[in-house]
Amino acid sequence: MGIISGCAMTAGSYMTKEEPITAQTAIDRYADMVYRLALSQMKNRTDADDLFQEVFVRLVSHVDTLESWEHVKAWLIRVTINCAKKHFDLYWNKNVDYIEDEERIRGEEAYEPPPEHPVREAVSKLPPKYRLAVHLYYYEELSIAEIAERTEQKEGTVKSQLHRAREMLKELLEESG
Amino acid sequence: MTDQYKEQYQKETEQIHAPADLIARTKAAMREEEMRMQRKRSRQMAELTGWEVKPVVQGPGFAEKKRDWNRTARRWAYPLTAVAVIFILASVSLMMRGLRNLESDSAPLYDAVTTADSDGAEFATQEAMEEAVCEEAPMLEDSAAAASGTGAESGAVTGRGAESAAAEAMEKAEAADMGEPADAASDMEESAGASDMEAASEKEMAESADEAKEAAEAPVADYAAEVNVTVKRVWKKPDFVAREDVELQTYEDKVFWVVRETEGWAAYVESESRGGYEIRGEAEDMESFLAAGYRRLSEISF
Repeated sequence: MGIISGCAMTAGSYMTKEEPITAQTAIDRYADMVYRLALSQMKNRTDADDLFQEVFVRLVSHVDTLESWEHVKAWLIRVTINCAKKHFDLYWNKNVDYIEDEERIRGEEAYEPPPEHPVREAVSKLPPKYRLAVHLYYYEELSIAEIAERTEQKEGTVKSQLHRAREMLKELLEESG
Repeated sequence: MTDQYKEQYQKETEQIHAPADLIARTKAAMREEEMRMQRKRSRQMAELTGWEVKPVVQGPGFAEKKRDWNRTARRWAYPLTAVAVIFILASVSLMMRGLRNLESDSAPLYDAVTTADSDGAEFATQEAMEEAVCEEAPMLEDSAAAASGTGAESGAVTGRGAESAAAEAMEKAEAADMGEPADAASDMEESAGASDMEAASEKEMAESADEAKEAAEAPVADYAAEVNVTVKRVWKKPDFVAREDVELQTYEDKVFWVVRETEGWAAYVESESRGGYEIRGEAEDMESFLAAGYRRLSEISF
């Protein structure tokens, strides 16, 4: 799975182990990963695009401190999550009813998975924290400990989130048939 | 999520890719950010040095070299810091030990000097006292003999007997100077008394001899009173200097702090160098005590 996603991410270019770590090479390597994560969190393309851009612009000032590609990947995931959280906090601080606002933009820029992606559609209906745990665990294949570290939560919390997410997904998928 | 749904989720997600225009826009934004940071670094450098720094065009491999350098620096930072700290601690420890040794070396030397001085002074004092006792005896006898001789000479005597007696007295006195046993006074009296012709002159001579003898013996008494004086080198004033009953006495241009104690007298005089001398002894009066003390001080090169 990791190999397949790696090949997809590289978009045909051959990445060697000794490839120098720069901001430009990092976006070539991890653009899809960051975009998928951003989309799963923001649920509309405009915010996802902004989040994507913000993450990689931040990488420019931090790339010199990253020593390996694994380190880069972990950093990108953590920053994407934090920036998404900041966006949600901004919403709450402005006392905006996120649900109403979401419905307002739903017709404009809202992103919904296509009908041929029922599992993603079910996942998109989960609360943001459950969506994140599911994406990191089932798609990025991170361990419970890694997810806890990236999201700055306890392992027990991540476990309970995954458990609850599985139950909800089961209900949603069974309803959709 | 079951395995079936997991695989389906992965398959569906793989089909999502970041739009190419988004990637292009983002790369442009990243380049702008890099230029902005470079300008900021140049400005900061210019502020620090006062020079204008042109933006550096980073060649290929620059980032990797920079990262390698950062990695190397981070790897060696802690060990080098630890070595530096250990070196500093060791240097300070050695320095402290050196200072302590210096103090301990000089302290015994200093103490030895003071002890030697005081001991030496005491020893010298005792020796001098003993020598003085030995010397004083013949000196006393010499002076007695001389006084007797003088008394004999000064006596109003006429006649050969008196002259012979005087001559004999002179001879006796000379003999006594040379250290011979001194029964000169009694011998002289006997010789004077044995003469037939001068009963009256004998009597006068005897009387004058007696007088001379008393005069000679008076300093003997004075000298005898000076015995038992000890002198000790001290580096600070003794406690008795601060007593209320202490008296300041000047003797031979030296100022003495003198107190009367239960076992005699005690005095302190300052030396020309650091510290002073503590004098203790028994004497009939302060003056004789000071005289003896001063004489003892003179003997030890005061």
